[in-house]
Amino acid sequence: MARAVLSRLLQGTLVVLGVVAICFTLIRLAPGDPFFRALDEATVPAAQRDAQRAAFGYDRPIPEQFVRFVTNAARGELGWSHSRGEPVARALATTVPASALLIAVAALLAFGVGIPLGAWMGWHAERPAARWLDRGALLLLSVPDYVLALLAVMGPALAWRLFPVGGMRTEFGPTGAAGLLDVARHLALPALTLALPIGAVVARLQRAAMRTVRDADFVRTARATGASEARVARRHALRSALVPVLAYAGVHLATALGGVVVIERIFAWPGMGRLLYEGVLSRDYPLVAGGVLVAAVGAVVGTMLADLALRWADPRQRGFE
Amino acid sequence: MPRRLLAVLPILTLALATACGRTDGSAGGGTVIIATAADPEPLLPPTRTNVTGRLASELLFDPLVEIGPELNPFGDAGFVPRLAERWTWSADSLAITFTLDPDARWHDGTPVTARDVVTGLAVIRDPANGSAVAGDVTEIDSITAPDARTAVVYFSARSAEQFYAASLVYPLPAHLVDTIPSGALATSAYAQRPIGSGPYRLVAREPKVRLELAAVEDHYRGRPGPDRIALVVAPDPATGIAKVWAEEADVWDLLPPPEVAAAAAHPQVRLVRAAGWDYNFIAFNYRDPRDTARAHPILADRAMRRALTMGLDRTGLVRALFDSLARPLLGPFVRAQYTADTTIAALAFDTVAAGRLLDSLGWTGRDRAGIRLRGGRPLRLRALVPAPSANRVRASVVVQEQWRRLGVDLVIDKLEAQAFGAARDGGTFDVIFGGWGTTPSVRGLRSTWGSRARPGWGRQNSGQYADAAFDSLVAAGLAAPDPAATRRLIRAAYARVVDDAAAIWLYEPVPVSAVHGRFALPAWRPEAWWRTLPGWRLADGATPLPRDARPTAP
Repeated sequence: MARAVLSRLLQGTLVVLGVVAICFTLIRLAPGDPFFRALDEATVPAAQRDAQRAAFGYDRPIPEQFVRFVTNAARGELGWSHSRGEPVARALATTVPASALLIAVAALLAFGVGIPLGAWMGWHAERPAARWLDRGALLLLSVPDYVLALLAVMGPALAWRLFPVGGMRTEFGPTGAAGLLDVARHLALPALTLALPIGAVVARLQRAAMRTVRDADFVRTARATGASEARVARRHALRSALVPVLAYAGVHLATALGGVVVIERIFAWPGMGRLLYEGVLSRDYPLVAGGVLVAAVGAVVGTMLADLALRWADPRQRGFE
Repeated sequence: MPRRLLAVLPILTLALATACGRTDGSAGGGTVIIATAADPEPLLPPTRTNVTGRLASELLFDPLVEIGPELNPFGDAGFVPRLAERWTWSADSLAITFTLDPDARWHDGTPVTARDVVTGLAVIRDPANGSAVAGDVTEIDSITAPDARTAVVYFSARSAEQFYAASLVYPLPAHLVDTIPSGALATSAYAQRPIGSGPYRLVAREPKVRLELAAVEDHYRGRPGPDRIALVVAPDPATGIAKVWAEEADVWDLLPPPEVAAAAAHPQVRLVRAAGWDYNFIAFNYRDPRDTARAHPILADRAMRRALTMGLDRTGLVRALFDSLARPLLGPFVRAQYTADTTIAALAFDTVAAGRLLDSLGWTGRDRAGIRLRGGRPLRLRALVPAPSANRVRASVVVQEQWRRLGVDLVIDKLEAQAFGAARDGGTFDVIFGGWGTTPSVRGLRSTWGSRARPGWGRQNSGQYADAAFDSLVAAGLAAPDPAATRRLIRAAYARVVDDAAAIWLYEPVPVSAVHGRFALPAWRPEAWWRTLPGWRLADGATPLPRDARPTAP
């Protein structure tokens, strides 16, 4: 077990370094630089821009810049964000928790509702309600996330005024406990919009897996012991049927940050997806490198956690170490 | 003192205060939330990089003097005092002595001194700061501080806009800025939490999320109206505008045309239309994109440029894209500028004449798609279009279709802002869908359409239009001693560039802003509406929102 974890940690470190190195290089090869001004703003003379580039070492060869970045990052220094006018570490410290909150609540909603719903749909696959729910899930899957987000802004937020349009807090709004409730109100729409398509995938995966194990030998054996249908479904079938969903959870955790970019942008949620997106657009080299580093570490850790969950759910996984 | 005089004294005092730009907001004016798509980047006036940055920095900092509501940049008659309460000219007009307002204070309580004016210019001039203002204050030779309240601005030459140049210098607190090493200003603690001299002070800043400002209670010009101002960043414009419709924000500047119609569904919002200060055009590249040392093989020919101009129905394009929310552009100027020439001769839309011109240039053959050929080569042009500008993207599609009918194949290269900027600066295009913001001053012409052969000119002239006569007219116009001469010379320069068909002048948008109706607004400043903010008040009888409750003192 310890050797497996160590091996995964080593692999993870190499993956993180590789991902950061690729992004670090690509952003520098893209046209533009951090000192580009707004679209129609007067540009500064080329010599002045070169002086600015030199001041931050962007005139040095890319490998040299990368080594410097890695050395500084090992000391906890991630550099200066040009587009935000603050240290990268501070930018990440304020945006990572916002994204983590959004992703966690959305994942709770998606998996918390998707798994039992999918399990029920699979166990009772012949019932008309299960078939309709399946079609509904398919419909949700087919709607692009940005359309869903815009519809949420236009309907529940703007037309019906049930939720705020965007942001994380009401400007000059309540503080304390009421402030937490205010954050929850702002969180509702982005979290739901993020959760719905994921929940639909989870429900359909769970439904298919449950349907497969429903008639498996071990389930029939469980039934033969005289256990109730509900107990058979919950205790015997579901645990086995969770395997594909947990595998998906691993993939989802690894790619969660990419999924929140659109949602954070449309709902003006001050998270890390938006930070990285804007960092790329403004060619904020240090911000992109620091953000990718944190995102890659998150993805590796997320995948490892999902693997551990898989080992819990499926004893066969333990045999392949 | 006669009783009648005593009675009018308060009115006189108020009138004087208004004339000097002072405000009296003792009754409190609520909270203004401005939704914006862009973060107010660098909060210091010399280093700001976008319009939102200008908005925030001009609320935080006061200049020496400010151009008045007539927006007349010539001489000093149209300017109002700010940090400088008065000024005098030297006999040779090469120096202006500014006397600072004795009540002016930085937000930390330190008096504003002449040394701060010197620091303001030094920050602009330091190349490490990358200030875009540097190119606009070239006529300022130096600034000295003979005593704490006196700053003398010396000029290298006389010009009609000397005083305007001085107005671009924002004093910065020497006691905080002078200790920052060159090149370290952008990353300094001061740049993150600037201490200014304007009617608002910085309370909180979350980059890319929000900026909170509070009224300076004892400001030397009087307390501003609104108690608080917040800039809330909504990167997606649809969300930002929806926040205004939902009363989560009070202002959205520059509504897109479809949203102007949508405003009718939100009666609490008022629309403010103003004169436009931006213009959009299609610039021709005079240099070969493959080798900029050579002239462009197709577009260096004036007849070709004129044919392409005549082959475009600009009036129809403007109507189709904007209805009444833009006007056809007449040249490299907007109608609101003092030098605007609404009688300028423009090339008329005439596809027959355009076709004849193209025939005369040898583009007589046609391929199967109807594209003109010369020596077997199709008449194909690559257009550089910025993807973030929805208007320009839509315009490029209309132009593509209109030119296709003429037998010209326009290949649209739609790029994100950075890639667009790099291609523009590298000259790798045939035509470019450009846009510039103008100011009351015409000094921008040196950079936008002036020849790069002149030192410091032509930095934004990406098509590399070069005409010595145009340059001379602009230089003479800026150096002319009186406004009438300046106007005459600059108009002659406009005629020259329009006759050369250096670009196709497309449109000047009519900006429409959405503002919550509970505010009573003073006269709108179209070129910098935020300068009116200190004068905003909650309208009599208007229902305040919860956020308008007067904040408790810190």
